[in-house]
Amino acid sequence: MTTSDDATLRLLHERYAQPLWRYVFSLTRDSYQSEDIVQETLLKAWNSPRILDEPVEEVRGWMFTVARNLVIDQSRSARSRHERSIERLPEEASADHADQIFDEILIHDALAALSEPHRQVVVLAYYGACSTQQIAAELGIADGTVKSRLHYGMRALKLALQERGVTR
Amino acid sequence: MSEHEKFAQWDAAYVLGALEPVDRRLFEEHLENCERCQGSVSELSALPGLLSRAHDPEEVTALVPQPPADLFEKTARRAASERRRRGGRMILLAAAAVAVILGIGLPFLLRPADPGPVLALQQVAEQSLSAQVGFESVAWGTRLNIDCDYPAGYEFGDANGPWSYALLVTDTQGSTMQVATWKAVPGKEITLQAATSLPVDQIAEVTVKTLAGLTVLQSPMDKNLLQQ
Repeated sequence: MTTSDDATLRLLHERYAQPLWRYVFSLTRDSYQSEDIVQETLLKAWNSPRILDEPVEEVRGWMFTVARNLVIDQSRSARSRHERSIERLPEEASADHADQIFDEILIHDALAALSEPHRQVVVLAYYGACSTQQIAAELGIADGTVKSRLHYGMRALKLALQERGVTR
Repeated sequence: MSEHEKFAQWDAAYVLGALEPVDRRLFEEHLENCERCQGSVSELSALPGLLSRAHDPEEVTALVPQPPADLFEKTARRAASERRRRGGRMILLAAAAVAVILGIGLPFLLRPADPGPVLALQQVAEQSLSAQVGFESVAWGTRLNIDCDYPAGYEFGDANGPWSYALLVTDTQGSTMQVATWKAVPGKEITLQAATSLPVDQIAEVTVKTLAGLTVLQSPMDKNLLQQ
């Protein structure tokens, strides 16, 4: 492998391995299979010319699709051989489930793109089902500050979701 | 402070259902007559539905294990072996053409220059597994690069899951050691590495067995491979 090939693979790994892993693991629930599929997906990307010139969002979408198809292929060939893994991963369900997880990863990615003060209040308000006063008490800040951070944080979130193509 | 200014930043808390009941009533009263607040609430109205498509990120982080630490190294090895195999095939095709013209036997040409000789293992038992082993001489002995092909459509396991295999190396003195174990990955070509302290010229034979003890593949070291 030449140095520039190696650098390309390293960059692909840095940018995509983590979300890909999460995606594939959520689909397969199997570390061994996930590792194999993540490796194969990274190699497919590495074999595509000029992959690093493409926008990150597009490459990620492409890689998720490749990984998803590999998961479905493997479950299909497992089914044809009547192996146990089929019960874990019905093909149709897995396609739906895959879209759901794709959304989830993009949403988490958008949340992670917020500044920490914004992310914190949005997560507490939505996932923690906390009121502004409960958040204020928890973080030791004024109730008005919580409202204000939610106001700006939710706008930043909307922008981040738009950038990721989740919403228009 | 105008009435709107007082409520201008309450929109998000309202949309998220995070206003205290007293605040919520106040905000709803104001909302009835304030177009700006109606506009900003509707701007955010899609977000709770989108957030509901994801679980709490912190819970998910706790549930999904981290990728293995050596994921990059393993991928890089696989990339190297893929390139090697592809490069090797091209050279082999060209060499085969030349060999036919010159009337030379092909085995002498099955000798990739780098990173060391590659031995295609011979099938002993009725199994569809095929494998080749590359021998790379290093300061501490020999690194074995093993490529295994589990073609799609064949069984490589039973009710207890995929079969496990072991690679055994026999030295010129006749003693055998196990240098790697792995699991079948049906429908895939996998690459793994093993190591032995034996220098490559003291390796006499390479064997793949199932962990149940069945010898699947076996080849004596090809002396021609070593003369380079």
